[in-house]
Amino acid sequence: MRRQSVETGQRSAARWFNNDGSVVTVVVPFRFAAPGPRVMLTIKLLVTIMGQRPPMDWTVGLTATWSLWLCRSIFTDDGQRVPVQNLLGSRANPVRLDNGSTVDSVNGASIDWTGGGDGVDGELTINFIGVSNVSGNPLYAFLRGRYNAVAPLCDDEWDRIFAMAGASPDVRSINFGTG
Amino acid sequence: MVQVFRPSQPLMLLTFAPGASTPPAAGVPQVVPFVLPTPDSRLTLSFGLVVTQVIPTTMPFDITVAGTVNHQLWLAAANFDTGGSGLLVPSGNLVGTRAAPLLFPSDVNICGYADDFQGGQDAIMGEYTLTDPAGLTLANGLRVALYLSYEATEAEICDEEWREIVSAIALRAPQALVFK
Repeated sequence: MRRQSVETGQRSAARWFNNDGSVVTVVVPFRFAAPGPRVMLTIKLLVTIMGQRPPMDWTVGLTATWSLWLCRSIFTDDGQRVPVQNLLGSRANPVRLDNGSTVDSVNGASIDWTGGGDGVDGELTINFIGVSNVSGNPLYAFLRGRYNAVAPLCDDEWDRIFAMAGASPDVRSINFGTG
Repeated sequence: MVQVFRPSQPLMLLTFAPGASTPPAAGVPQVVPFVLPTPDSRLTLSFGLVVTQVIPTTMPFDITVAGTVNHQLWLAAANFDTGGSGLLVPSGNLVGTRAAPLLFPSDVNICGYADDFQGGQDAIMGEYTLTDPAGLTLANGLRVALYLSYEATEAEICDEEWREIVSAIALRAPQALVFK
């Protein structure tokens, strides 16, 4: 039996090159395929700043906040993708991920989900509220996922999950700033 | 064998045709009962009640129209009276109660209700109630439907047993309400 664990590709969510002094809110929508109750989906957000080793100040001197919303979606027969259950926060009130200080032991999030539905969708919200930028070094945020079977699956079923991982996540990434 | 069973069509509960000229009277609840078989406790039933427009505009949209339109749901675990009447008897509330069904959604960005259920009851019975839909833009129509999925939860079930279990999932279309 093959190992029933697969990582998706890593997708860029946001890239901030040098600071142009803007005060900006960035919302990055993304979608993962939902695997069903016998597979755990782990959603991974990673934030890095070029030239720095994590953990680092991802608030960039208290000028940035990071928040996340997740929901369960269902695909209708007429092609709509409908949010039907909040899983983490809400769209209007996503959950704050950073601790609001310049000293943080995490630079991202790792969230496990096991359940039904067709998709796990969400939005990453970054609020830049000042003009600071760490020595002009670019800041990157990435999203990827991992699908792990929580019970043994037959080969046909794992092939289905494997194909799902290949198409996930779908991220509408944003680049901003100068450079 | 892929052990996921999905009905080929959603179960329609209520439909307003675009531009429906006969909306129900204000304050009169429109109730649609339904029964969902749950033949084996090793299956998870993924339940999704979805509210969409027939002519889609934006998604999500506020299906409560700032709280003026009430969507309610009652779900209960139920078992057949095999010793007498053969009737389906609710034995435990799962979502809301029949007298006080759950008002949903609590978030304007959510267009329905979803949850997963697993248990040894014979079926899940429920009622969807819509009250005061006049606030909705019915020019675009409205559809309320159930999207279901049955999936083996923990260990894989052998193919023969899976076929036997799935053959017992006889979903009967609810008596949907249609407004034209």
